[in-house]
Amino acid sequence: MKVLIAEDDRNIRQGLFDILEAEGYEVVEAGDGEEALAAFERESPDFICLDIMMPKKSGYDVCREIRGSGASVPIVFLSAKSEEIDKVVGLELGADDFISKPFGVKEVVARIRAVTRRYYAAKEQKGEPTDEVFTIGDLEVYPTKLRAVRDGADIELSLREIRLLKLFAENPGIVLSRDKVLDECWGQKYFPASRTLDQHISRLRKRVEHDSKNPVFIKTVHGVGYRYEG
Amino acid sequence: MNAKLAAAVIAIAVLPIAAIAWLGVRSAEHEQKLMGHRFDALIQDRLSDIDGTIRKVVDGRKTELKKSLSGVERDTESLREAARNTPYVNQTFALDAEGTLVHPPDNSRNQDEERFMERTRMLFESKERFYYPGEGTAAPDHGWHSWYWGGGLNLLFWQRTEDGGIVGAEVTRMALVAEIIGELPASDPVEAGMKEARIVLESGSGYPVYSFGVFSPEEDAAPRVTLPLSPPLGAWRLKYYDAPGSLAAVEGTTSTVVWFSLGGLVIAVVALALFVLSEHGRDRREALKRVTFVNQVSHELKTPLTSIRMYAELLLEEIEDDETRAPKYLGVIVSESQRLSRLIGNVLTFSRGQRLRASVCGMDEEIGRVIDLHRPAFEDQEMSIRFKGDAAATVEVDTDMLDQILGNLFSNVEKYAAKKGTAVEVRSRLDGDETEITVEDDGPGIPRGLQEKIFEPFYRISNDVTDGVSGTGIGLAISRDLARLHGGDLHLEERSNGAKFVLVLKTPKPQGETK
Repeated sequence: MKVLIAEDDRNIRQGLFDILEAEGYEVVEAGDGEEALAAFERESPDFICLDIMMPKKSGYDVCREIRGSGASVPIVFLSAKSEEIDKVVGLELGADDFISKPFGVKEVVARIRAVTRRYYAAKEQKGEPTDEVFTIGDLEVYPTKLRAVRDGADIELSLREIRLLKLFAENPGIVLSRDKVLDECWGQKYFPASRTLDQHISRLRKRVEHDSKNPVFIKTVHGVGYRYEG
Repeated sequence: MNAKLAAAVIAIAVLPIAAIAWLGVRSAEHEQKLMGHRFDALIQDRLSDIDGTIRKVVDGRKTELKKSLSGVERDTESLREAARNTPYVNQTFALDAEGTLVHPPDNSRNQDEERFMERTRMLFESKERFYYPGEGTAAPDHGWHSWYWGGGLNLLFWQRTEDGGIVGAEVTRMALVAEIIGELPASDPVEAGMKEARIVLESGSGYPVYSFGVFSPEEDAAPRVTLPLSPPLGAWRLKYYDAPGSLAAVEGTTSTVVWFSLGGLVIAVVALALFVLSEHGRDRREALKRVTFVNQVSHELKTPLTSIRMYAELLLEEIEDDETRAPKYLGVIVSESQRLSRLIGNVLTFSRGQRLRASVCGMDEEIGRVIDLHRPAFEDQEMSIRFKGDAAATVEVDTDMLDQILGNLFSNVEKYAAKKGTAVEVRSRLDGDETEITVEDDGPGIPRGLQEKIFEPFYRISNDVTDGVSGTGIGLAISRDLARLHGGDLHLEERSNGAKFVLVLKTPKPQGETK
């Protein structure tokens, strides 16, 4: 899934980039309203995070123009609370949600995941193909819901984590090299630091393993990679 | 500037002006009438003066005639001679005590006397002319008689003789008129007030005997004032003519004064009204400027704060497993940046009014979220926070307000009730279209009697616990204002130990739901 971030503050933009990239999205950046519209035309993102107060064109205007062109791509406004934006006005403009500044990482993640779920639900409604439910161990994973279920308990997952789980679920007993994992779950375009993979695996373990210190699903094969015992 | 205010100001400005204008006009009219009357009276006096002058002339003639006639014998020769010798006299006549005409004689009248008889026939036929038929009052002993004959006024003087007879003389009218005219002002007098007027001495038949003044009235103009002369010239009149607008000029001065003062008053009131409006407008402009400033500042403050918080959290994720104290330090940065954000929110709320913006959410879910945000801070202080939610329903609520209120309450607990082992319990309960949320701790509590005072802005309890703790004292004031704005309230329940804040919010079911 491709996300467009339009935010003029460099630090905030970079931070959002990192968050969304970690979540598993392909991220496109824009530093002002006009760049945002150009990027929208060029990249056709699956959803957009729009700052409101931007140079050259405000987030309102960008949203209006995008909606004016007939696109129904989900748009999330990033705003300083209330005084900058009247939620009713924003909704009338066609935005789907808001994130208020200063926002926490968890907030952003929650909102983005909500948008993603809606995106997949819309796809399913249209009859378009989406990832199917799969099982790994005693986990039932619902890719379109960014969720795994075990014994009736919900575990929230990111896109990236689902991709990782899918990779392992499809390759039970096979040792997957680090490169392989990176290729499959990050794509050839990315060159993430190797620590990134470790961190993700570690975080994933915390989510799905009963005891992350003694992983059962995803075992480390030292010097090589990882393996799902199946 | 709204229409209501404008209407009110206009009414305030217009009503007194209208009232004063009405009074002013009435007063001016009254003044004008008065002035008119006074002016007329002045003219009347003037004409009376002229009448007096004329009377003097006539009286002068009377005196002369009296002298002349007193010594005359009542025979024709004497009387004829008297007529010849006395100036201004046409004819003389005499009656005996029985009222029979003695002179002019019946049989030897000359032509003049014939004509005289013709003129005076009516007069002598009625002897009573010379006697007053009064009741018991004595008959006068002299008098004038005037009558019209031959196109003009004829004047006759008579006096009683010692034997009861009458002797008299007809006055030459022309001579008398000439003498009168001689006493009157010249035809075009240079005199103040006469410039625009003309006084006419008019005979009984409407013939202008004499007139003076510079003004020439129109053919059928009406005189301003008319005064009949005193007897014996009572058929004559003095008429005063002036230009139609001449008094108006005087009147006009009064009107002008009135209108000028009115104009001045109108300008004053309008100026006042404009001043009030501009002040009001200025207040609003000031308020708008302040709001814009606040918005600007808010944006400025929140942008770097966003980065601080976001990066602190990202960093925290990176080093979660770190065994050093780094995660803990980062935790502090995160929670303090949250606190800073809350503080900014409070300050901004305080400096401008806030409107209710409701969104649909699960109440317990939202409360849980706020608690989760504060949990790290609580756990750092080794306090426990527990949530017993019984308001899971989806309702309409302004989440920003809810977050701010709960945030303030939790922040207070952290600040003032923080002690190892303090337990905080949050409960929620849905009751119809209201949600009740209680935040209870078993800390030191609020001293008795201060339950209400703590909700006052800037009030902070001063004691060992609070001294040294930073705070502005507006958290509870704002929280209560917000709660009330949300259709509910916030109060402190009386408790022997600890503090229990009860928050009630109006949370209607989302529109469209039938349950």
